[in-house]
Amino acid sequence: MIRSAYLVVAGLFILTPLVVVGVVAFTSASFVSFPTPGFSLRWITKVLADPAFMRPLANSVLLGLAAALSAALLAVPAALALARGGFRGAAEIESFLLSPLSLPALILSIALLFYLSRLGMGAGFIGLLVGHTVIVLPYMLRTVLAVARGADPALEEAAFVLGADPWRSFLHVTLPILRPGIVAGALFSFLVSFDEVAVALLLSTVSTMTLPVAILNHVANNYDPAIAAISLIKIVLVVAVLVALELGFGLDRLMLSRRRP
Amino acid sequence: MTRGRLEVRGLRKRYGAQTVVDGVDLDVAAGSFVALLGPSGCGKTTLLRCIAGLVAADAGAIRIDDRDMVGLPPWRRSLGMVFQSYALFPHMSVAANVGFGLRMQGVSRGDAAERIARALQMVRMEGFDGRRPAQLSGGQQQRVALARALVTAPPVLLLDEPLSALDAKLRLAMRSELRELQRGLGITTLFVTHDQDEAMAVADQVAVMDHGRIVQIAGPETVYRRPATPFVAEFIGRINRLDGLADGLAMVRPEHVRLCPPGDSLDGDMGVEGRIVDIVFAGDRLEIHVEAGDRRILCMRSATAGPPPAIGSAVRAAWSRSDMLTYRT
Repeated sequence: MIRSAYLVVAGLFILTPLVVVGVVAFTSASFVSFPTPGFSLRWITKVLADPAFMRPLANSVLLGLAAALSAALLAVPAALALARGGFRGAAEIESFLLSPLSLPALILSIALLFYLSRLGMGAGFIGLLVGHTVIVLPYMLRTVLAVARGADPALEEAAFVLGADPWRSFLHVTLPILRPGIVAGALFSFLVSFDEVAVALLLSTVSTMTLPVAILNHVANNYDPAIAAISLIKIVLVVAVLVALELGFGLDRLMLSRRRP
Repeated sequence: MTRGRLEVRGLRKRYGAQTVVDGVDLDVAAGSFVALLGPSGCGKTTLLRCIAGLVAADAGAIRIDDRDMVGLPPWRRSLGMVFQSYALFPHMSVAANVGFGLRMQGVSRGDAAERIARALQMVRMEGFDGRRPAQLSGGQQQRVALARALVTAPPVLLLDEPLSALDAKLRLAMRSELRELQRGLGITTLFVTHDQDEAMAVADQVAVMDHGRIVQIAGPETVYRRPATPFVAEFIGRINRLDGLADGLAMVRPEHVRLCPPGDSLDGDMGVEGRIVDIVFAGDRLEIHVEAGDRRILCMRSATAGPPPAIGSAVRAAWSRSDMLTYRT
């Protein structure tokens, strides 16, 4: 009884702002108000046609995918080495790779800005990608490492004895076994990158601006229902990705390596 | 059978300061079944892994049918191996698991399908092609692992404690199945185990290992009746140490000890007087523990040979000199 009451309160606490956003996105008024005087699609269509939102949205999607990919490229070899262990400093290296979790993103972005401009790159997509890769790497490493640690080391040896060289054994055995961790890590990575502001604020330029930065800029200048509309589009996009993955593969199967009976 | 002669010469492997395999020589005739038996840490698994190529030996030679294996990576040795954990690929079906070696060899799909079917039939797992390893019982997984190791017709089959994960009943059943399969195929087999009953039951030859060396290699009966060293005598089966009763180190198997009334004539046999302190009923036999001074002698006799003696009764434990094993110390 108390527990379900608690769940209802917690649910309302989380969902109410989302409901307000969802309703305001369809307002017919030209200002933010709740309840809305009437419903229309004017703000949704306006935002969808506005390159000031759509270009950053495309940038964010691209950046999220690229960050997840580069995090995977770094995390998979690192996780394999760490799971095998047995070398000096393994624990320290693991802590180091997970340390961005405890580092304020703003500090990281300032440091990156200095560093990249010294290298002559400054702000831009590469800078954003580097920053986001650092931020999402711990999520990817955690999930891949969990799977790698749980895998039987004899699996790779069995592949060797059966005639697979290291590359083929990686491709046919190790990688498929790590897949649940990589998918889960990529999902987290994408979502974290998609929502990240601090690094994006300092490192994005006009042409590489991400969606959160664009929303922030818009809010700074005008407070109209376009914000609610783009927020709703963002939410729908994220939920659509989750639903598509669930329908296509089954999320818990992808992430927990559980097999369908 | 001329294929599958295994030859190991002067094999050495050390990890840091510890020598795990200390100059092993081993000859396995084509088609024979050899058990590598020893306590944990004796180097038997490392020896097997050296032969498989999973561990690089520091020195020595490994030849199969005069083909030098040292320096070849495991994927070029084309051997069959069953791991303790079976190591079935969890993301592949049974058929894909069994066919993995064929796929790596580039065997055509149709040809592979036929050979997979035959291998599964051989281990009586036909009809399980589409299952995942997680959907199989331990015994079934072990059969699939065996089929996977045998489907490429390797010259030598390496088994790393393949039965240890099974429960006792199934282990006994798989033991004889393994033996029949090996005999039927005539495949040279090297079987690592720490279980002496298992080694004696399946193998033509038992190689007993201690501290990285093979201390005796012989048929199961010889290893039991004529153990080459006190270590082998004590490791295989049960044995009474007879310290101080003969020159050097003397031992006698419990089944060679008989009990008679105290004061009976020994007829040139050896014996000690004491009293029965414990009797353990072990189904087909009785284990009778006799305490003679500070010595304990174990006597084993058939449970059906008359009524058991009473605990506490005075007896003489006697044995024939010819049954006694003596070692110079």
